[in-house]
Parts: sequence; C-alpha cells; structure tokens
Amino acid sequence: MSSTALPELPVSGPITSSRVASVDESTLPALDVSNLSKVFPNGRGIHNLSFTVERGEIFGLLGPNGAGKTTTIRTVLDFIRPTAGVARFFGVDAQGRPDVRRRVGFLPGDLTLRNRITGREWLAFQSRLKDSVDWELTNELGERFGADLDEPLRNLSTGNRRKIGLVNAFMHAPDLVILDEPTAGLDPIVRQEFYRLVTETRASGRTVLLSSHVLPEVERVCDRVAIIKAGELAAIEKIADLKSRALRKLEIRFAEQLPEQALRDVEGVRAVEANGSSAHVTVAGSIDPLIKALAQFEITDLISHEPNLEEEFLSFYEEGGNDEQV
Amino acid sequence: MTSRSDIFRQTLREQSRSLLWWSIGVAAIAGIYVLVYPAISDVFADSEELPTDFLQAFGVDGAADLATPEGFLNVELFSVTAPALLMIFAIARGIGAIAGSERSGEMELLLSNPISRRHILSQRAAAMLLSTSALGVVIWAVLASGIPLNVWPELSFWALTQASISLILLGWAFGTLAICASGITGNTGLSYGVIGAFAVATYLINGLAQSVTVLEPFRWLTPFHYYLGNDPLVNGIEIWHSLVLVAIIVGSYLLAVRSFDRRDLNLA
Repeated sequence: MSSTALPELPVSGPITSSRVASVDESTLPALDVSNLSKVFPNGRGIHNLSFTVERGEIFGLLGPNGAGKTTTIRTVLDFIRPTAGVARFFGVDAQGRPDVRRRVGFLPGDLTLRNRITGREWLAFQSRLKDSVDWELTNELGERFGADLDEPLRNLSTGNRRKIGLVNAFMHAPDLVILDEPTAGLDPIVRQEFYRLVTETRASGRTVLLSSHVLPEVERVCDRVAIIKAGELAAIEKIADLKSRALRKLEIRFAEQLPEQALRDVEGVRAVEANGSSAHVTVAGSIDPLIKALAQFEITDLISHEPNLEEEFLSFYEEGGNDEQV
Repeated sequence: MTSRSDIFRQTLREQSRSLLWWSIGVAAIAGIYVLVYPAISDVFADSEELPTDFLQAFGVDGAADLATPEGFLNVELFSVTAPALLMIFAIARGIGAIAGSERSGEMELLLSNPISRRHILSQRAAAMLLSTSALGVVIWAVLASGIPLNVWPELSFWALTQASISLILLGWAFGTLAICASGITGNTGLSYGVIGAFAVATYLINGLAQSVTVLEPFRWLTPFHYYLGNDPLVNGIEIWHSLVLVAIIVGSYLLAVRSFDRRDLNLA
C-alpha cells in the first residue's frame, strides 16, 4: 500500500472527522492512471501509461490484439502488480484496497464460467460478495440481454455465458464499469442492447471504460479513446475531434462541365475522382470551404457519407508498420 | 469488505457432489477391511513367512501383529491406502483452491468483487480442511462400526479415534502444503509435481528409514513420521508429533498467504 495519505471511500454509517478528506470526493476522476508500467520478464507489457477517465464518460481503450489493453485493465484492477506507477479509483489507490471494487463492475475478456450451477445461482453468489443484491435490476438486465439464467453455466455457449458476465458487471449499478472486449461473441441484437445500456449508464452520470479492437464500436459509443500501441499510449483523442479531422467522402453532380481544378484548389480537399460531370471528393476536416466554393456552380446532387475514422486511426499505427491492423 | 462465509459455503456446495463420491469410495474401501478381517486374521495368526524387513517398513514388528486388529489396520489401511486417499483428495483441493481457480478464470471474477486475496485463501483453506476431515470421519466411522459388530471387539475405540485424528492431520498438512505450492507458483502442473514428488520421497524415506540405518536421521524430516511414528492405533497420539503437523499446516498456510498476496495472478 502506498504510504501517502489517500482520501477514504465514502462509507455508510457515521463518518469520523478524520475521515473527512480535504478533497471533495465527487470531483475526483473515476479512474486516474498515472505513469503505470507493467513489464513482464519477456519485456512485453505496458510502459508508462497515463490517462484519466472522467466521471460520466465512456472511455475506450483501442488497440490491436496484444497491444496491452487487457494488461492495462488487469493492472488497474490489482490482479497483477505494476512495476511502476499507480491507478486510483475515485482517488483511492486500488492496490491493497479491495473495498474500492465495491463501486466497480468488471467483465473479463476471457470469461470461462464452467460451473455446474445456474447463471442465477452464480449471480446470487456474486451479488453477495458485492454486498449488493438487487434482483429487480439483475432480472431486468438478464431480460434485456436475453440471458438464460436457469441453465447450468457449463451448458451455455460462449455468447450466452458473456451475457451472464455482462449482467454481473452491471447488476450492482457500479459507478465505474470496466469491460474487456465486451461485445466479442455477442450477436448483433444483443450488441445493440449493450450499446443502449452503456449510453444509459453514462446518462445516469456513471462511467464506462471499455477495451476494443473494433473501431466502429469505439467510434459509436465512446466519448474519448486512448490508443495503445505496443504497450505505449499513442494518443488520447475525443471521438468528436477525430471525426472533425477524419476524411469525408462527398459525391457531387454538376449541371455543367466539372470544375476539377477549382475543386482541387479548395482547402481540405485531398482527392478528386472525376467521372464525367460528377466527382467523388475526399475532404479532410471541415467541409465548409468546399460548400462555399461549390456555391458558384450549379449542382444537381450532393451526397455526403459518414466520415471514416479508419484512416485516422491507422495513422497512429503507421510508424513501425508491423503492428496488426486496427 | 465481506467478512461472511460466502466463498467457504459456495466452495463446499460446488464440491459437494465430488465429496459425496469420494466418501462413498472411501467408505467402501474401509468397509472391505471390516468385512475381510475375520476371515484372514486366523491365517495371519500362524504365518511366519512374511519377511520382517518388509513388515517393518509398514510399521509392523512381526507377522503375528497382523493377527491383531491394530496390526492388520496399520499394515493394510493406515500405512498406505488411507493416507494416500486423503492426501490425493486434500492435495487436489488445495491446488484447486488457488492455482486451479486462477487457471479457470474464476479467481479473476472473484477478485473483481470487494474482497481480498487473503479472504479468498482463508475460505478456500477452511473448505479444504473441512472436506478432508469429512473423509477421515467416514473412515473412522466405518472402522468403528467393527467394534459393536464384533469384527474387532478388542480394538480400542479411543485409539482408533486418535489414529483417525492423526490421519486427518496428515491430510490437512498435505492439503495446506498444496495450497502453499499453488499460492507461491499459481501453476497447477508445477504444484502437483512438487507436492507429488515431496509426498512420494518423504513416504519412501520414512518407510525405508526403519530398516536402512543411513536414512534413520531423515525420518524426522517426513510428515509421515509425525503421523504414524508413534503408532497411534496402539499407543495413541504423541502430542508433539501432532504439534509438528499443526506447525506444518500453520506455516505453509502463512507462507501461502504471504506469497499469494504479493504476486501477480497467473492469468491466461
């Protein structure tokens, strides 16, 4: 345990004067990772990661397989011990303080529930360990995910087992939910339900940290993303900022001759593919200069596609080159 | 942090079916000895043919001892079969308590709750001690039934009880040694290898030391000496022998706590 004085978790019951921390607990971030390193004997691991997950946000850890997402989560949760640095939940160093996990829900990336007991029995056991039994919420979550709570766990398929794991992560309404590859193995319908639940969690002021190697997922639900590359933090970005920088494809049909050169000269235009009187134009960042430039021509049609973040993300991995694709 | 016995009770519940089968098996094996003793005690009474050294290795001074219930039970049950069964059971439970649970991913899920590693270890150790005791009690009960059934009316109930306690202590010692090995390594295969080798080596040393003089001093290093060295079925428990076993239990438990608390979980 760290020897520095740390603010106590709020506890039910009388609070002694020594317990009243000078810092207002409610202003502390849900998770504060500071210079965290975990280097394994083979040299792999995570190196000097620092990031903060603010309350009420959905934070993504994005990276290819083997980048260190799971190692980060396991170190943060005190399953493995950091070689340097510290992770604080709501201001409290997680190491040696299991009580902080009362406010945390967790879904492991590799969920191997092979017990003879049913999902309901297992969830009952887990909720006793969390000191929080809320069957109304638990049943509601089970129904939303279509989880079969009455079948022995070992008879369930991987996807159905993960549904039980998701119920376990959310059933005590934790202030912070940490999910390692939450949608792996889920069918598209359950995946949609999961995205809704995560968004609702944020709406209720609670926090979600999820890891993923699937870009569209991160793009869809996360507010911010930490991009991890070979155990190091490549960037922390707001999804909105990435989108504003991202390449957007526009399809423009002109009534007259295509003003190809005029299009190429517009700020932000990266590429023009001419095809008769129509053009596919790729724009980086704001499309405003292009729209203003187009105003002097007669346009018959204008189709804008969703910005594609893939290239934005890949640019973080281009150096080095031998990493897996995002 | 929870201070309740949820993990203890859940561990026993999930292992109850296996414990039931083990109990039935152990009861059947002990029952066979109760059934066959009247038939073969007469045979052994006249026999002088078994080599003395061989018998000494099993804690029997002469073939005539086999004609007594104590000698018969020592040779047939308390020297090999009963300790082997209890040790295999306790070692498997001890390794499953930590390393097996890590390998299955169960430990990660348990530790995502507001509970400490020490808490999990204490509850799992308690479950191992209780279920190992249950097997010892089954053996004791089946053998004790031979007294009112006139199989061995001369067998001392109190001596049998003491021998059974000594047997349970041996099971506990190997169970906590297994917890210790898996608490240190987090590796089921390595734990089985280390504890298995230790069990076989110390068993052989203890057995051979009774006839091989060079090995005599090493008897003091084997848990088996403290289990059967005083021949509890005849002489009762030697209290400091039992205290040595208790010391092994407490020491290896504390070492397990210390190691498990500090190391990384062994996760896939």
